[in-house]
Amino acid sequence: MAKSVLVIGGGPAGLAAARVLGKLGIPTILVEKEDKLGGRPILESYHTLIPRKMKPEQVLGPFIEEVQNNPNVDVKLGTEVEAVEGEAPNFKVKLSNGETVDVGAIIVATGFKHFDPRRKGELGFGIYPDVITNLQLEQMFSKEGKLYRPSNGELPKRVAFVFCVGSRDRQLGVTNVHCCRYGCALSGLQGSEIKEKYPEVEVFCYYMDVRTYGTWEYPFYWEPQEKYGVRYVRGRIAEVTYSPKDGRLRVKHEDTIVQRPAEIPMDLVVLVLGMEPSDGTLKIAKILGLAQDPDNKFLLPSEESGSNIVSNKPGVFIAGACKGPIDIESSIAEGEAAGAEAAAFLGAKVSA
Amino acid sequence: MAEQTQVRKYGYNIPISEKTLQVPWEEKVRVIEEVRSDFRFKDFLFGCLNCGVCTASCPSNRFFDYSPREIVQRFLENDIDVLYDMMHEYIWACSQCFTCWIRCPFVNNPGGLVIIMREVAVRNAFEATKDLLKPYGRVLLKVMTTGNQLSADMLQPDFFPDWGPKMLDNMENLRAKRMAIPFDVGKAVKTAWEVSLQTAIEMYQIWRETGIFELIERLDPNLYNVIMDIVEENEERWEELLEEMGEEQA
Repeated sequence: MAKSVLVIGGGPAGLAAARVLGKLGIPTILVEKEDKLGGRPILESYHTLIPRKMKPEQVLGPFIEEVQNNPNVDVKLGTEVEAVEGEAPNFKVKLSNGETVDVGAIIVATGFKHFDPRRKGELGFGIYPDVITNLQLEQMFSKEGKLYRPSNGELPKRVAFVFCVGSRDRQLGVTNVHCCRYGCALSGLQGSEIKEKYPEVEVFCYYMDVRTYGTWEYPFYWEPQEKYGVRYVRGRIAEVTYSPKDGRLRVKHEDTIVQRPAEIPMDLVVLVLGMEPSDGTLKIAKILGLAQDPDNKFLLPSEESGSNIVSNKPGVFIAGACKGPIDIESSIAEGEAAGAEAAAFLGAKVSA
Repeated sequence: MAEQTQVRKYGYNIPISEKTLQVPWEEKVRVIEEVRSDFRFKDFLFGCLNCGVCTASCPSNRFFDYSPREIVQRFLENDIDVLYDMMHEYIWACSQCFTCWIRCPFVNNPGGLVIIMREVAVRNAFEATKDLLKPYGRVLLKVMTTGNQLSADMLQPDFFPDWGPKMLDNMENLRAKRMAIPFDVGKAVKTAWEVSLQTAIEMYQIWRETGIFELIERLDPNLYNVIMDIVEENEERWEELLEEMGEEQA
């Protein structure tokens, strides 16, 4: 009897792994903590995904449909892994629904969580209603289809994007020194979306440096400036305050290119959130004894295999944002690679 | 026409002073090396991305040509002339609130670098340092001898020419007014609180061991003499007290 594979997490990486395993005819169990597949992009109603500017349903829809319809894939929603005993290829996995399943390989795709911006008190999130997160802005677009100031429902005249909130910041400890990778590009996209719909709104991006790497440079850095008139100012926002006189926010920063400190009125401040390992990632690392970065606690691949989706534990593969900040399409690619690796791992055992 | 030499500037518009340019290069290097070799230096300076969060947060930057980011940048560039010149005036605008430190994503401590620079400036008895510290002579005297920064009797009209008649009236019968304060303020006028002789003696010990007395001597010999008179008097009193106690016990 062919051994089966357990995929933990039903987000982009987990779905991609489960889809390729199902296609290869390998019995697969996909466990997802939430009661819906799709991960953060679907659960949290992202509006448009970078870099292909597609909707989450467009990108992840085919994966969800195929995984749900493939008889080889057993999807268990609202289920978590409680304990794992034994070694590959004979893992005994205890699930939160009381079941125990026998699997030959495990794919960990437990993802990330958003940084909680209340930890940066000086930025005023949770204090001033017009300070929102970039996730809330996505939901404003996707759920309500309009841009407004939460304090009064009106269209903001000036919008500021505050880059690197919870990223590249040793003040939070060694845990948050890493770059979030997606923030610069998403802000360029969100800024463009605002300007496209409301050309009269002024959009400012406050950055330390702009990291729209590779082919992202034009669509998410040059185009926002050239085509939509998004303004980029080098300088990290030091603090956000509120003026009762005009009911507007103030952002304080130094324009470090022209050497000019400034305090500027804003109507809407968007915090660009960093990524941290999800609670599920931390939990599964403990259960399986997976190697973690000593500082940021994301999962680390083993060095011996050369591959970056092979974990330190034989028969366990790691994919997606549980290993560190990653964009959705790379996450999908890693999931597919992990699925193929897991299949090869089982095949090798079977044929031996 | 005399040859025009271009003077390099820093800050928003500060030319490197003629005086700094005339100091031998080796001497300037020695002074900056003294700053760099301070045991705290490695914990105060890491990397810098020029995000400007320090300068944007800096209260002194709002009022003076002073930028914590520039301090960090000049150290990273190791710009000897500018760093040396900064030690004579620029760094004295820092109000030592350390907001730069608690905001910097690298946890650089520009305010801490300023402390080290100030200490080195004082240790090297820079002329500018003497001038800058002159208005604080009375405070220095009080701190060095009693450990108190300010006391009621320091608020005298001689030192505050802008006081009006109301304030002058306030300063009369100081002792009675202090006594009338309904909670314990030590009932002292010359100090903010009653200073124990033993504590003062221990403090003098610290000044001696750390070389603070010598430092004051180099900065302001007159002030040093006044301080030492009081210190020696207190130390004699302490010795006498110890002797008395010894006799009582015997």
